[in-house]
Amino acid sequence: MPGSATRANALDHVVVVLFENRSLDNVLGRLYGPGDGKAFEGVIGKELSNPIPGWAEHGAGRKVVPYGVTTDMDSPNPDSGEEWYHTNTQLFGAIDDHNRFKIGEGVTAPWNAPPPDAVPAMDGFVADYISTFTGEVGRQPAYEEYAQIMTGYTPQQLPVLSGIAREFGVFDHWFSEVPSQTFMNRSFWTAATSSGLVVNSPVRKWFTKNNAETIFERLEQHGRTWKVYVMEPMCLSFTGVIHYPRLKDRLATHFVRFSEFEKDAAAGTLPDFSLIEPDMIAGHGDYHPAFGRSFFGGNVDIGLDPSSAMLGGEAFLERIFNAYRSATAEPGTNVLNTTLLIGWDEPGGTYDHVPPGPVPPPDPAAPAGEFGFTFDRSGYRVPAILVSPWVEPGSVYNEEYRHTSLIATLRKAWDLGAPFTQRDASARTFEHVLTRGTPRPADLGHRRGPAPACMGD
Amino acid sequence: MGKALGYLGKDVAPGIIEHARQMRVKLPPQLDDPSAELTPQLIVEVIRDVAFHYFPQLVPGGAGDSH
Repeated sequence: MPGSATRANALDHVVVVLFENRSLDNVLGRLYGPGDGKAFEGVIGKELSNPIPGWAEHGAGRKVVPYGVTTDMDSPNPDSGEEWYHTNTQLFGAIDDHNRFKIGEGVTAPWNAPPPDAVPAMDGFVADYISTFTGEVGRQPAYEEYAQIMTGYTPQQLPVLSGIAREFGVFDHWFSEVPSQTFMNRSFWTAATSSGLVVNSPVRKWFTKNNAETIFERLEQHGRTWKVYVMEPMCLSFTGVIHYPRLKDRLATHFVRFSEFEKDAAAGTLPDFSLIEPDMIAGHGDYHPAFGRSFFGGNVDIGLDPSSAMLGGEAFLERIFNAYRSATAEPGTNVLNTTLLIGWDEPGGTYDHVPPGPVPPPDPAAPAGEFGFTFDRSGYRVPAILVSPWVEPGSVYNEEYRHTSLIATLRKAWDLGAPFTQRDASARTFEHVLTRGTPRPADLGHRRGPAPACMGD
Repeated sequence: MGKALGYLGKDVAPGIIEHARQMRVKLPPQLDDPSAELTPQLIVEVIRDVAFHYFPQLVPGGAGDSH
């Protein structure tokens, strides 16, 4: 184990990996229960449910769907709605009559938007899933088909993620920044705004309209280094597309394959800031819900894809963790002076029971964004785990954090200057959770079993 | 296209192809051939060919593998 670093060096280097489309309840909701003696806002011991809308053709007599355990490593399948107008329904329970069973561009004003000052009840996940399923598949789902949206995974089903969470520190109130999709939330991770954009599509707009300053440019201004490591065989970086107007001249120099992360970690040559992207297109390693097979007849899988993105995510996270824990170079980057943050971009329409609250708009003077959204409320919870030898095992952080807590922490730790937007200006930093006076052993105490075979496949 | 790519891929693929056209990037001829059979594997390969123009270090065996 490298011996010269102290706790003051814990944030000399930061590695962040961002996975896809899971709520905290969905993948970590059963991490701890009341018997574990921890204050943890999970699902164990709670009577959680969502109402079944009266217009459901099947199972409406049951009135509610109680929260349960998933039996399929590809759940929810088909994927749940995640755009702003779907999230409105999920959080506030309301769906405009004319938007029922509509998806994508078929959804029209007022886009299921809640009334001003409405408080999320987290009671529209079943209604939205039935509506989305019907819009996608062309028929209403049976009870068993839509009840899956009210399920989550156990630690035994996700041994890598859960094992790391238990060995290190988990944030149980980490909120996504935008109640919508991938691109906006990833943009907030790295720029504290999405320049008024509220949905991914059409993607061509990202090549011109997201002109916000990025953390990468700020790092360069302060003499710091960075790379974006992309899981093979993914052929592009979403970060590069999202920030194309600002980063187009760096796509050929700073965006590299993940195998280079493994080499850099082993050699002690990691940059100051590393962002890791899982494969999110074909060959999924991102924990994303089912990625489309159910919509099409016959075998349309391609050889690149794992049997489930959950299992692909577990395998990739293990690869990341092994590279991190094996980083013992001295001098250079190593586990003592490098902190790993495991995060998600958005919950993707998977159920969570904790309502998100109000947040300041990134730029209060800016006009409303797409759909008239003023960015005055955040998205809902996602998982977040901090990995470092300076973290006490089994830690749970109960305070509210958000994606922009990363930028806020880097600004503070590395003296990077003024806030990017009002959003990171108001975000809580997390440097204070690195509390140990002495570091933990080099293997970090990580013990776990093999990932399970795909269930229900 | 939707048969070959995940949800995000279905969002991204048309956008990056459109941008590549605007940037006058040479595209595989199948994209302009309405009679071409776009198999899932072919679509993935097409997207890769386009994307690697933007991200050359992500090419297997390319600069990104030489370190």
